[in-house]
Amino acid sequence: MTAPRRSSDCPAPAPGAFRRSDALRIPLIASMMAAIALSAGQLASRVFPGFDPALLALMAFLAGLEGIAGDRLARQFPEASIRLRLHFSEWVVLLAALRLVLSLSQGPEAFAAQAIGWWAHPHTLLDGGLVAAGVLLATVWWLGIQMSRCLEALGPEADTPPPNDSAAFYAWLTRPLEDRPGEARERLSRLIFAGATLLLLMSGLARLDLQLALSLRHPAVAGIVGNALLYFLLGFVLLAQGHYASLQARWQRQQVPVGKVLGRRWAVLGIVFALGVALLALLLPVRPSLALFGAAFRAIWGLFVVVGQAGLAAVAAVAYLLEMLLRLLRLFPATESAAPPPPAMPAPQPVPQAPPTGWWEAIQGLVLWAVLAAVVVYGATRFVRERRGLWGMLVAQGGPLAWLARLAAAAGRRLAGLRRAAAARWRGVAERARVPGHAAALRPRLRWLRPRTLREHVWLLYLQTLQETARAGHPRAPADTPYEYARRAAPQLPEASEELQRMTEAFVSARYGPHDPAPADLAPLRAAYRRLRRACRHLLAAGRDSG
Amino acid sequence: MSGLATFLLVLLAMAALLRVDFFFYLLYLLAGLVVLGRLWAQHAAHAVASERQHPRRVFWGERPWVRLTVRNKGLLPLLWLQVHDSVPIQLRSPNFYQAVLSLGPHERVTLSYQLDCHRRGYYSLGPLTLQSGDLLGTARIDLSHATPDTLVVYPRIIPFTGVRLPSRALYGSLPSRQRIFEDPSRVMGLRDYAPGDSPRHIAWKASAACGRLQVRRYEPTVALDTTIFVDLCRGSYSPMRLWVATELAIVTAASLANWLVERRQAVGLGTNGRDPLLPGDGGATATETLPYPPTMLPRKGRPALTHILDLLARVEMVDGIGLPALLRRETRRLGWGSTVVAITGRVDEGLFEALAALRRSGFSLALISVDPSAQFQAVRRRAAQLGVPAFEVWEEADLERGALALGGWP
Repeated sequence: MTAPRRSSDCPAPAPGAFRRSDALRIPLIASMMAAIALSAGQLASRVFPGFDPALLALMAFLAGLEGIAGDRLARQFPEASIRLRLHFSEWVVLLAALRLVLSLSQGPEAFAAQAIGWWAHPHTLLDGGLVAAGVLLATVWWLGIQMSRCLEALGPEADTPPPNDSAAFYAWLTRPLEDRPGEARERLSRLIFAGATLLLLMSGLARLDLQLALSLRHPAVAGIVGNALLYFLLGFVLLAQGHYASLQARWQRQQVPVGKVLGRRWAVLGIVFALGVALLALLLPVRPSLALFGAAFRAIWGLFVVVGQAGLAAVAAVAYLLEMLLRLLRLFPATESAAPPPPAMPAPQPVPQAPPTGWWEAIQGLVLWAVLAAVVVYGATRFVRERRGLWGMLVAQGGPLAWLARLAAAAGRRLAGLRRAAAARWRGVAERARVPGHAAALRPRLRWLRPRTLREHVWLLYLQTLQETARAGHPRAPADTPYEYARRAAPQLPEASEELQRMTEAFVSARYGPHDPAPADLAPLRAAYRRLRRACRHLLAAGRDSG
Repeated sequence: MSGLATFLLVLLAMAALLRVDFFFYLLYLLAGLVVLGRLWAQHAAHAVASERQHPRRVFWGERPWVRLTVRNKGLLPLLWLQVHDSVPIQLRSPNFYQAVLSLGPHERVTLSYQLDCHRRGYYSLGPLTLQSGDLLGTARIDLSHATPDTLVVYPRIIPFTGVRLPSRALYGSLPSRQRIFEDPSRVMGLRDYAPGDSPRHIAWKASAACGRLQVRRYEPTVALDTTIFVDLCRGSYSPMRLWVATELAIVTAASLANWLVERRQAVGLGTNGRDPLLPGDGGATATETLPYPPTMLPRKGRPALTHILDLLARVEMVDGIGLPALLRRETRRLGWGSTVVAITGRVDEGLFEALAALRRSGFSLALISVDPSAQFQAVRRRAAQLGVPAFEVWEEADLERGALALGGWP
């Protein structure tokens, strides 16, 4: 093992300048753009037979290279007008080249005929094909530039540290840093995924019958999508290299010595790992997954058919009853004509049969199930291992089944409690709504829907107490303080005078006191409130009887 | 990696809807790269073992190397590993060591860094934190290896040319000018007999050879069984020189102990400072019940010096009991005639009273002030009245110049 070297020994390049690593990165990005354009070209060749997708891919590759180089060149100029002129001239050349490529792809004769037409009618230069290809080219051009910028941001910073023995070194070392590489890496991954989505969509559409695309009953498309594989592998390389570059930038900021073998080992291990995973993925079957999704789709479709037929039957029954009613009322003329013949059912389309399962697919199926089982076992093991006390607790409480039963019982009790509370609250709301003038007063009380504090519980009990005493014929005057009201109302409510005094003291303490009431105080208060309510209702009933 | 889960779902949906076999292969590939990459990184990182090697005790001014051995015990290679070892700021600036490695299967890497030991103390090294991750940056693994590694930096030891400490202990190995301490085991010559000489000192063979009576002359020696008391009470020092003076007191005590051990004398140590290794050290509250390290009784040899230096390396200043109280409490177990050296910053009447009591108890005393005031001559005169030599040490250079060999009397 050689001694680690300081990552800051290499001088940091100026922003926008080309680095040695760019010799690999820029062609990689351009190749990924070419892979996207190849998919678009394949899709276009379905619409326009004879169109050569390779030419579009070549154009995208060149546009990617040119775009990255042009962007770096343009960023050297601080004036926006110069940058704009550079990009404008760049795009004039790109569009002219694209026009030539699109025409040449149709053969020399067609190109000659079109060239004469352009001379006579210049507006024919711009057609739908050029617009579509231009949009695609602009997309990959922009995508390539953005990826390049992200990779550039992942590199080392340009600022040079002060000398180690200077006073400014420690301040430089401990300065607050933006997570520039982290953001750039996230953005790079998003761009790569966006490009991959575009590529896969176009590749998939280029390979299936569009009429059957949405039925999910079309046959599976076999074969290798080479450009997609290339894009994914290059994307993996870019992401791995981007992560390495961001780590290097971080280590450079922190002045961490880095082992010399790290870069080489990173590359070798990355390649070996990617190849190993690719081979492993090759062992996994594809058809079972397709069959799984097909079965799921059939289940959903069957459910949809059942629901639809039930709806149709209901409509038919209603229509029949309506017709009978109308006939009964003689509003519906009786028709003697025979019923129209039922429409002919379309002939079922032949569903291609899957080839019989061979030994290779059986092995693949076994591998798939082994992988799934391993994932499940690994997840369960980790779950139990990370919660060491869980299993012992389950066993101590009578085993998992007993624990589940208790859990279900507790959940049931909780649900029942919630239901009772909701019902009680609804009854309270309904009762208050019946009282004139309370509907308007109810609106502000919606705030009680949130969980109450202990103080609010006491306030609510006191307000309910006031409602009950008001119903009993002893409302509180607006000028009454709580104690004044209690002194005034207590002789009128001899059966509930103690409860009223208690509720008043609790309210004053909760409303103006420095401490929250204890949770244990709530139950006696509620009991006191219930006694007071009972006394008030007795008083009200006695008044009615005497009246 | 943001968007990965979303993209995997999109890929799954497209593969299912478009029914392209190869898209499933790409799905497997991408999921495998992410999942297996994370598992690889986790398993490889957890198979890393580390070991820190360094000397446990170093002398002031040494620059010892710390060797970190990082070993991959597993079969999987470790893509990258960032090693971060924390070090006390007194020993290294910046107060950490970092390196980035890549470890193959069963590979072992040794990293080294140097410490700069210019502050005595008892230091903990570490923890060693390791950080690793996968190829794509989807996983980050942080591990901490908290090994109880400690390092003791001894205080600076200044070699003395000589120290004049009083002693009343007989039969030692240090020469003395007082004839009453003659050691009959150390014959230094012969002289003619004089009336009053003990007949037991007559050298009969030499007398026969000379033809007249000869008596043996013995070398007067004393044993300098010394206990050094270092005052580390915060209130005993002026605020301006608090740190400097306490460190100077410790350097003086360590140098004196070293000088005594080199002369094969027994030496002990007592202090009212705080030992961080003592359980329940209680913090810095100015109460009389604050514990202090137990006083080491005088012992001879290198092990005794090692123990003394260990304590002097660890001990810290505290708002504890004063030196007079410490002397009264801890000198009860010392032998009659042994020497007590008090090293302090402030010399006041309370200290003189304690010294007078010790003097009456038969101890030989010496006073060293490391934070002397302008009235030190008065202090010296007052100490001389008690028969106590008083030395002043203003800086370490005074010790190098032999401040403790110049007498200590007014």
